[in-house]
Amino acid sequence: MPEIAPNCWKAALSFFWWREYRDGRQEQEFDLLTGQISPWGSKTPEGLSKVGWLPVTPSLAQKMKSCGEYGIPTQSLAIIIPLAEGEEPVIYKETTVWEGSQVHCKACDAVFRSTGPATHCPICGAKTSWRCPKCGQLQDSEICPDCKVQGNPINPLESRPARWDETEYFLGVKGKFCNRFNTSRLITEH
Amino acid sequence: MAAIVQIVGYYGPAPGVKTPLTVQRYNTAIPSQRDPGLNFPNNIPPSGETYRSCWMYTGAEITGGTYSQLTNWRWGTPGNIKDPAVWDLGSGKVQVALKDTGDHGCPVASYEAPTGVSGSYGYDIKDPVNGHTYYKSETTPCADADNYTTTSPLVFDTTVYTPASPLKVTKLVVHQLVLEDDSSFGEKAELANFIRWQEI
Repeated sequence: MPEIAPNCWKAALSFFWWREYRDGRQEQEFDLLTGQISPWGSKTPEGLSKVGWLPVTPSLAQKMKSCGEYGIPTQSLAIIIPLAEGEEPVIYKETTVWEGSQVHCKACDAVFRSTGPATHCPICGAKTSWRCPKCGQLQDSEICPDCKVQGNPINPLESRPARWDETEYFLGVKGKFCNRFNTSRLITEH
Repeated sequence: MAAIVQIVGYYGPAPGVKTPLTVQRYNTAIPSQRDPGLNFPNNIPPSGETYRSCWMYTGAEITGGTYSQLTNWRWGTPGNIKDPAVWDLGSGKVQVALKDTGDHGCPVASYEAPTGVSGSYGYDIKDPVNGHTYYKSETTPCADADNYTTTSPLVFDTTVYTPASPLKVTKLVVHQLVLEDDSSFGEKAELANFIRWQEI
């Protein structure tokens, strides 16, 4: 979905930024009622007491669409951190565009992405084998161990070029720690 | 809120033609072509020699969308290009140009058409005479692209791009295929690689 033209990308978002000032004011990337966008700004504003990433809800995703943004609703929790006086937040998202392969396993019909030659199916474990032209048995090696003749390769994995993007979200305090997360995991780095 | 980013390459005589990257094929068409198919192939060199493709440029252009800042542009591979199961390059490699200091990418304004013998080989990026002016005098040699993976990608542009930035095209990764006499012959499968950026 986010490849909107040949190798032209716009990240689909599962989280949007949120911030609270020491005087209690709150701002966020998307207006929950209209989907209207507010930019973070060219500089991080002074006086923030909390920053975080909030999950995109199904309702917000609909409204984002009308504003030209792609939202992927998630049931993940909000990730918010407090900021002490003088602390500088680290907050950004990171998009990676991959040029790789989409692989179809003819044994179990699974489809998966690969960033190198797929050696086996991660679902059913199928991998290239060799059928011995003499005894007809499938073998794991090119030479049939019984007949000592070269087998014919049978590759259950069909690959074709594919491109896709991945987005991760970062949140932390400069010089102290940083959380890196997406909808399925969170890693804290010091 | 997300920017629209297109992965691009530059080809042909200077100043180069910016082209959206669908397929980019290492080749020996001088000056460069994005994908001449199986024409202008890369040749396995005679014993003791090294042949190269012409050098290629890969970067990104911010074409629209809504954003405040984009920065920290990185490029990398799965780190296994040379492996027998991938391109089986023997002691060959894909090499990427580095600067002694600052960003490793080449500014668009410093684009230089690849040099070489069309259909036979391209000159080394670091060739003292025919190499790339932006890189050939640098002390730092070209690096093996297999060194740049998801955990240690090549940072090619640290410029902070904002909606007010006059130029919306990043610096360009400059890379070329290096073939040695023990590199294996034959058409190769599509190579996996990635471009990554930070955005708020």
